[in-house]
Amino acid sequence: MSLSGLLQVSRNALASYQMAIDVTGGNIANVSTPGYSRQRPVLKATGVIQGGAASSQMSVEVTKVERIFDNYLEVQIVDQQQKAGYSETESSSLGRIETIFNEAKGAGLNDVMGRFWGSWDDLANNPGGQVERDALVSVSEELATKFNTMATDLGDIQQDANLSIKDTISEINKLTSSIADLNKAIAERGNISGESNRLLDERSESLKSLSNLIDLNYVVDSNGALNVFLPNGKQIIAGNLASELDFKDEHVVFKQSPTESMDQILSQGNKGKLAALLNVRDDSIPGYQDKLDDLASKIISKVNELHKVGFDAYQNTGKEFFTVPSENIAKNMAVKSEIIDDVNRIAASAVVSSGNGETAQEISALKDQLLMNSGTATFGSYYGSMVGQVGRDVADADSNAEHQDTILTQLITHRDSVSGVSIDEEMMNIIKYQMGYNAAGRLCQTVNELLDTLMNIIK
Amino acid sequence: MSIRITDNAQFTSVVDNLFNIRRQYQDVMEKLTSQKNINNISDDAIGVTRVLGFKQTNQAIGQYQSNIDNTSSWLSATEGKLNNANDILTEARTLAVSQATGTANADTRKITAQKVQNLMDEMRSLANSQLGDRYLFAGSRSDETPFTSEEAAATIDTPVAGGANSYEGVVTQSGTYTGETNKSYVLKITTDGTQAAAKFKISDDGGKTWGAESVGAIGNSVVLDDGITLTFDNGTFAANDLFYVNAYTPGYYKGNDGALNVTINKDSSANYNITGAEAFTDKGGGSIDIFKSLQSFKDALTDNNVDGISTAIGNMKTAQDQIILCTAKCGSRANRMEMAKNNLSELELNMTSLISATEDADVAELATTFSMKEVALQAAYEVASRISSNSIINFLK
Repeated sequence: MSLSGLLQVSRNALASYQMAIDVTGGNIANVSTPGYSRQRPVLKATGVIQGGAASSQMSVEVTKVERIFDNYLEVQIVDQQQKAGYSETESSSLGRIETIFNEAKGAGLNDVMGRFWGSWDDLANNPGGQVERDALVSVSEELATKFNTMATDLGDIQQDANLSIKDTISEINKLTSSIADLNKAIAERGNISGESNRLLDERSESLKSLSNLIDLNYVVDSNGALNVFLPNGKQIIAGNLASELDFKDEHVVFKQSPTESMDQILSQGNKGKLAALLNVRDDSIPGYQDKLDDLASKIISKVNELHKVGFDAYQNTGKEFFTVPSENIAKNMAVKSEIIDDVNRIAASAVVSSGNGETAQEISALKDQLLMNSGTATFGSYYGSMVGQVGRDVADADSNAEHQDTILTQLITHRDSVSGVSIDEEMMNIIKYQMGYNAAGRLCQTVNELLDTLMNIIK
Repeated sequence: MSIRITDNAQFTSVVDNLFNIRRQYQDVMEKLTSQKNINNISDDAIGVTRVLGFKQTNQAIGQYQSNIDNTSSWLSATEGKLNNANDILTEARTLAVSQATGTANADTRKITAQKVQNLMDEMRSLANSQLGDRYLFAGSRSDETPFTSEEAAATIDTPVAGGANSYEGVVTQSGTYTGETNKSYVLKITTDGTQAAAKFKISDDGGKTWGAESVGAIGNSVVLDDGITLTFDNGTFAANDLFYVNAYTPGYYKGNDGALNVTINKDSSANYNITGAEAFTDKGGGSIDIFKSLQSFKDALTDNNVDGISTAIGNMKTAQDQIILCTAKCGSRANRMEMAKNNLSELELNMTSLISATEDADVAELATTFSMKEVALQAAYEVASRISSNSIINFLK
C-alpha cells in the first residue's frame, strides 16, 4: 500500500465523479429534446483490497455511458406511428370530401333536385306558360351545374392527393438518405459510447418520422446498421445506401425501376400517410364519383326517354332534354343548347295539340319511381344514402384517427417514463455525485496531510 | 416497477388534455350558435340521411299544395261560369214559357228572338271564358277557342306537317268525318323511304298511343279511321316525320274531351276540368247541345212556331240539369282538393317536427353543457399555470 496509490484512488474518484456530473449535465440540457434517451454513467469498482502488505486499492471508474432505451417499446411505437399516420391523413382527406356533400346546411343537391321535379309539375299545370318554361330551364341548368361542381371538386381533391403524394415522397427520400448517413456514421464510430448514443437517438427519431409516412419493416443487422424494407420485401435502406422513390405517371416507383408501380403494395396494408393518400385517390374518391355519375346518368336517361315521346310547343316530337356525355357524366351534364335557346322546345305535352301537360307530369313523377339500385331506391333516397355513406366514412376515419392518436400518445408517454429525463432525478444525482466529488477531494486533502506527517518524520 | 414521471411527459399530458377540452368546448359552442345538433354530415350520418328524406317529402308536399292551389282558382272560376250559365238558361226558360202561351203573338216572339240571340251570345262568351291564358271549357286543347258562333258540319281541318319534317310535299285531306267526338289524328313515319317504301303508324288520340306499324308502304294516300283520307304528293319521307289533322263532329264545339289532371299526392292524380263537351254539348258525357237548342228556340220564335217553343221549354230544363250536374261535379272536386290539402298540411307538420327532432339542438341542455365545459377549461388552464411553479430547483439552495 502506497500513499501515491491513495492519491491515485482519489484522482480516479474525482475524474469519475466529474464525468458523472458531465453526463448528468448533458441530460439536464436535453430535458425537452424530443427523442433523447437519458444517459447513465455506469460506475464500477476496480481493483481489490486484501489484508497484508503490497495489495492494490479499490477505486472507481466510469466503464461506459449507458443509453436507457427499451427496444420493444421502439418497435411498438414505430408500428403505431404507421397506423396513426394512416388514419390521420385519411381523416383529413375525407374531411375535405365531406364539405362537398355537406347537406347539413341545406341548399345542396337535395334541394336543387326537389326544385327540378317541382318545376316540371308547375309546367304541367300551365303547359303554354312562358314563365314556367323559363323557370324550368333555369332550374335544370342549376341542377346540371351542381353536378358539374361536385364532380369537379372531387377531381380537384384527387389532384391534390397527387401533389401530397409527391411531397411525401420527397420527404421520405430525405429521411431515408439521412438514416443511411447515420448508419454509416454509427458504423464508423464503433463502440465509442457517448457520440454513438446521440447518433442512435437521431436515427431512432428519423425512423419514427419515416414510419409515419410509409408502411415499413426494419431490422438492425450485426453491424449495427438499420435496414428498412417495404411490404413487398424490397429493401429501401441497406446499410449506407438508400434507394430513392419517385412519382412517375401518378404511380409510386423506385427511381431505378420507373415502370414498376408500387401503389398496390404500399396501400394495401393501410399503414402510413402514403397508403392513406393512395387509398383516398384510388378507392374512396372514384367510389363517390361513380355513385354521382350513376345518379346523373339515370336522371339524364329517364328524363330524355320521356321527353322524346312528348310533343313540344311547335307540335314536334321532343328531342333530348339533357346532353348525354360519354364519360365523366356528372362533370359534363348539361341542358341541351337548343332548349336553352328556345324554351318552346320543351316537350311538356303528351299529344300533338297544345294545352296538354301530361309529359311534364310524368317527368315530375319520376322522383317517386324506384329507378336506382336495381329498382329499390328513388333518386332522392339514393342520394340520401350516398350522403349518409360519406358521413359514416368521415366519422369512422375521425374516430379511428383519435383512437390511434391516443394509443400513440400513451406509448410515447411510456417511452418517456423509461427514457425521458426527470429533473428531480437529475438534481438528486448532481447532489449525489457532488458529494462524492467533495469526499474524494477531502480524501486528497487527507493524503496530503499524511504525506506532510511522513515528511516531518524524516526532517 | 413504478412509473417515472418525466417533465416532458407531464407537459405533454397537460397540453393534450387542454386540446381535448378545447375541442369539446368548441363543439358545444358550434352547436349553440347554429342551434343544430348536426353541423357536419359526420356528426350523425344516419340522422342526415333521415333528414334528407324528410326534406324531400316536404318539398314534394309543397309542390302538391301549390298544384292544388292552382286548381282551386280554376274550379271556382268554372263553378262561377256554370252558375252564370244556369241563370241564362233560367231566363231563357222563362221567356219560352211566356212565349208559349196564348198571350204572346208573332210580334212579341220576334222581339223575344232578339233577346234569345243576346242570351246565346252571352252563353258563348261564357263558354269561351279563360283563366289566365287558358280556356276553361276546351278540354285539353286549352289554347284554342272552344266554341264557334256558327254551327258547322262535320269538318276535317287541313293536315299540318310537323315543323321538323324532311318531307316537303303537300298533304291534303278528303272524306267526311264520322267520328263521335272531336279527335286529333297523328300519322308518323317509321321507316325512311319514298312513297313506295316508307312505313308509318297512326294515333287517334293526338299522339299518346299508337297503332301497330303499317304492313304496306304509305303509297299515295292513307285511310285513317272515321272517314278521313290523307293524300300525299310525291316525295321522300324520313323517319319521325309527322302529320296531324284535327277532325270535328258537327256542332259548335272545337275543343276535345281531354282531361286536365294535377298530381295531388304520390301516385295520385286529380281531374279538375269540365270539358265544353260535357257541359254544353250532347257528346263526351253531355246529353243536350245547348247552343243547338237555343238556336232552334230562336228559330221557332222567328217562325212563330208554338210547338217549337214548347219543345224549347223542355230543352231548357234538360240543359239546366246538365249544367247543374257539372256544377255539382265542380263542387265535389273542390271538396276533394280541400281534403287533400288538409291531409298534406298535417303531413307537412309531421315531417317538420321529425326534422326538428333529429336536427335541432336542445338549447337548454346545451347551455348547461357549455357552462360545464367552460368550468373544465378554466380548471385546466389553472392547473397548467401551476406546472412550472413546483420544481425541485426552487428548493435547492
